Amino acid sequence: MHKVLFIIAILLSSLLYSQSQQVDTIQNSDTLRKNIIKFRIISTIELINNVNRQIIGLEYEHKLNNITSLVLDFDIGYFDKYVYYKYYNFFTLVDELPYIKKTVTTKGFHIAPNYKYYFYNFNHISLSGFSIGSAIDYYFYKKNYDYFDSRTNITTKTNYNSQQFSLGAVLGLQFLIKNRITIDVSSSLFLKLFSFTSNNGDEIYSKNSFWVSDNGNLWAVYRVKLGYAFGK
Amino acid sequence: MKNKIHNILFIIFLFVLISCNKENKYEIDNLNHNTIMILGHRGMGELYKYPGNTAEAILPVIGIGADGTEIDIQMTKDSVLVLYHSDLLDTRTTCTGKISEKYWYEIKDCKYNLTWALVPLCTVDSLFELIDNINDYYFSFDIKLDGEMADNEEYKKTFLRAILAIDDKYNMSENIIIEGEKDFLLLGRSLGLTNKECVVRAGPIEKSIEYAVEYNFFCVGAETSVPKSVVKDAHNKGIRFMVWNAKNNIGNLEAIDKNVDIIQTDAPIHILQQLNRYDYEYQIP
Repeated sequence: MHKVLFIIAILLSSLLYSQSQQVDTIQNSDTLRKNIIKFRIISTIELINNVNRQIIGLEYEHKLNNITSLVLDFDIGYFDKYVYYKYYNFFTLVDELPYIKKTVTTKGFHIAPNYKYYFYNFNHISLSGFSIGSAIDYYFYKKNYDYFDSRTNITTKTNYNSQQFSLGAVLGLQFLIKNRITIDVSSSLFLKLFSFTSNNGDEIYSKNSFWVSDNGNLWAVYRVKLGYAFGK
Repeated sequence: MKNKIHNILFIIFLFVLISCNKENKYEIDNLNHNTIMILGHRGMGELYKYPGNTAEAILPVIGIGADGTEIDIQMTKDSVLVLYHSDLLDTRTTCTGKISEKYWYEIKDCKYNLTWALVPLCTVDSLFELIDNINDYYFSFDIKLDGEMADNEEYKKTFLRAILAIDDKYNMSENIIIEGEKDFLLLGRSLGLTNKECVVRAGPIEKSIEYAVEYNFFCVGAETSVPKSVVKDAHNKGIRFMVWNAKNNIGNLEAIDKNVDIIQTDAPIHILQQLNRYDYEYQIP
C-alpha cells in the first residue's frame, strides 16, 4: 500500500515539476486541436465477441495548454452479463438432466476524470506524445444474481449495489493521424480510497481492469482508444 | 457542416457496433439429453501454463465449469494409479525410468521440469481427495499400459483392480469412463468393473462401433475429424460418441456440429463460453 502511494506521489511531483519547466517550449501549430472524443477499441471488441461483458468506453479530452489536458473517461454497460448452466447425472436415465442455472448481470459505470501532462510531444503537436497523469475513478455497479436449482426447483435472487472511489496514476501514449484521428494507448494503476456495498452484498472489485489485487484494493487498467479530434 | 456530419457518422458507427452483439445458440442432437459432456484434455489443455495431468491443471478446468477431464493413467509396481502421459519420467520430470518399474514412494517427490514452479506428480487418489463433490464430475481414464507388459494378463488385472478400488473408495464407477481396447474392457467387466466403457484403438472407427454394439459398450472414441455421418450412425445404434484432439476453437465448433456426446478439449474456455457453461465467478489461478 505504501509503495503505491509512494509511486503515485513521485508521478504527481514529477508531473508538476516538468510542467513548470516545459510549459512554454511548445509553440502553437496549425495542426493543434482543442478536443478529442475517443472510444475504447478493446471494449468494442468485447462488445462484439464477449458474451460476458458489454461495455462502451468513451473519453473526452480537452486541451488546457500545449502540454496539459483534462480528460473525462467513461465506461458504461454490462460488466457481467451471462447465464451459466451446470448439468449433473449425465448417464442417468431421466427425461431431463438436473441442472443449476445462474443468471448474472452487473450493470453500471465508471467515471474517471484525470489531468494529463504531456512530457514528450511528437513534432511539437499538442495532445500527441507520451503523457503521465493523475486520475480519480468512481464506479457504481448494480448486481443481480439469480440461482436456480432444478433438483429442488428453488430460485434464489440477490440484488445489491457496490460503489468505489479510487485514486490513480496514468501513463499514456497518443498519436495524431492526419489532424483528426488519434490512437491513444494508456495504462492506469488505481488505489481504492473507500467503497460501499448495499444489502450486505459482497464488494464487487473493479470489472474494467485487466488486473485486480486479491483484496481488491489495487487494480490496473489498459486502454486502447481511437479518437476524433476537433475544434481549434 | 462537414464536422457535424463526421460527428454523426461516428455516433452511428458506435451504435452499429453495439447492435453487432451476438448470442451463440446451438441445437445439439445427441444421446446425452442433447447436452455435450465437456471434458478438459488432461485438465486445461495443452496450452495451459501448468503441465497436464496435474492437480494444477485439473482443478481450474473443473472450476470454470467443465464436467470433468480426460487423464492419462499409469500404474506403479505397488498398484498406485498415477497421472502421467509419456512412457518415461525423464521426458518431463526430474526423475528417470518408467512408472511401472517404480514404487510410489520412489517417485512421489518427482517434479515436472519447470523453471518457475514446482509441480509434483499426482495420483488419482490424491486428485479425488482435492475435489469437493467429486461425484458431480466425470473422468475419462486413458489407460497407458506399459508396452512391455501389455500382454501380461496379470498386470492388466492388477491395473483394473486398482481402478476398481478407486471406484469403490469414491463411489465413482458411474463417473469414470475407461478408454481402452475391446479385450481390456472385457477383462475389466469380468473382474466386476461397472464403469462406462469406451472402446478405442480398434482400427477403423466403424470397427469400434461394431464392437460397441456386439459387446454393449457405452461409447466409442475418435478424433474430431471423424465424419458427422459416423457419429450419427453410432447414435442410431445407441452408442455414445466421444471425440478428442479438439485443440482449438475450430476443433470445438467442429465437435459441436457433429453432435458428439463427450468432447475432450484443449480449449475448454471457448467451448464452455459458447454453450453458456462457463462460470465467470471462478478466477483461474
